[in-house]
Amino acid sequence: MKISLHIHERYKEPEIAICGPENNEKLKEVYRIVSDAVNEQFTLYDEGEAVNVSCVSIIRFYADGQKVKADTLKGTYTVKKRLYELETLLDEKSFVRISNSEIVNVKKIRRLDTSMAGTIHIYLDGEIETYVSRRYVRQIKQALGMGKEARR
Amino acid sequence: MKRSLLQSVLLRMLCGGGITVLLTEIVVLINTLIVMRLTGNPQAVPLVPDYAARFENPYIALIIQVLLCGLIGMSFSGCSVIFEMEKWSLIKQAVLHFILTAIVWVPVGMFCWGLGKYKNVYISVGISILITYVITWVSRIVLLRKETREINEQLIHLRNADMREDENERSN
Repeated sequence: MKISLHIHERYKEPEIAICGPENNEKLKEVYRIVSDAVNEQFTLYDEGEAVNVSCVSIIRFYADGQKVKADTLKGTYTVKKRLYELETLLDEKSFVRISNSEIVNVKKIRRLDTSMAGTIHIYLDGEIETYVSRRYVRQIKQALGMGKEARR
Repeated sequence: MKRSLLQSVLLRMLCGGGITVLLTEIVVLINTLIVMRLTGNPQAVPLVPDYAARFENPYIALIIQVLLCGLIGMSFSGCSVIFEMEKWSLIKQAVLHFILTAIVWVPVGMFCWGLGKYKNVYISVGISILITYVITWVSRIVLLRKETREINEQLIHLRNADMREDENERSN
């Protein structure tokens, strides 16, 4: 397989592209291997069975009673960490806390909506709808790189 | 260490009550000086006559009034925890805040300042409270809508930028 290295200032951050004439099993396998190698992995639990999931595919982490759960497009998993622990482990450019009980993947946010009653709803990939605490709006703006509030 | 809700309420009540008593003392002192000056009576005390008549000693009446003001301060400070309830809407928070604080300030107002004795006082107090809550609610909604609109615009901008980058990659 041909491997090339492109160095150019137009790349804001390192990226890997896998190219091919058609999407076949070999390409999918390469994609999986590369993705697993470079993206941070999280050990989630599906009915007690450990599953390694790439951070990029996690939509959100949330508290569900005493448990912490993670949603992906493939399903919901259990996480054996508290939300505050996750907050310190996760890349702050990729994940943002939106309430006391939820951390979401910035790339999975579709839109926000404020109701007349003053509740902020957030719509995520996978048709997930949840709410944003008003005090975390500033953090969301920071995570999205907005104005003076952008994270450095 | 994370404080429990009860600890948070008690701490706020303590701080709010203390600050209110202190501020009321200052206001009472200023009022006393004004009343003394206007009446020429060095023993004048700024109290509603009906309230003062309940006590033999006007200074005791004044101290009790200051402490009751502190109680109002405690109720407002303690109830501010309601606005930390993340899942509650602004309207629910405002209504609950009003009801819980009114349980304290309405009886105190009736006892100290004759609230309820005159119909006009009821109406003016009611209107001023309603205006305060409406202004707070409208300004918060306007601000939140502005912020969510800006966030949505940024999300669209970022998505478009990602798509453009992907297209450029493909064309290269």
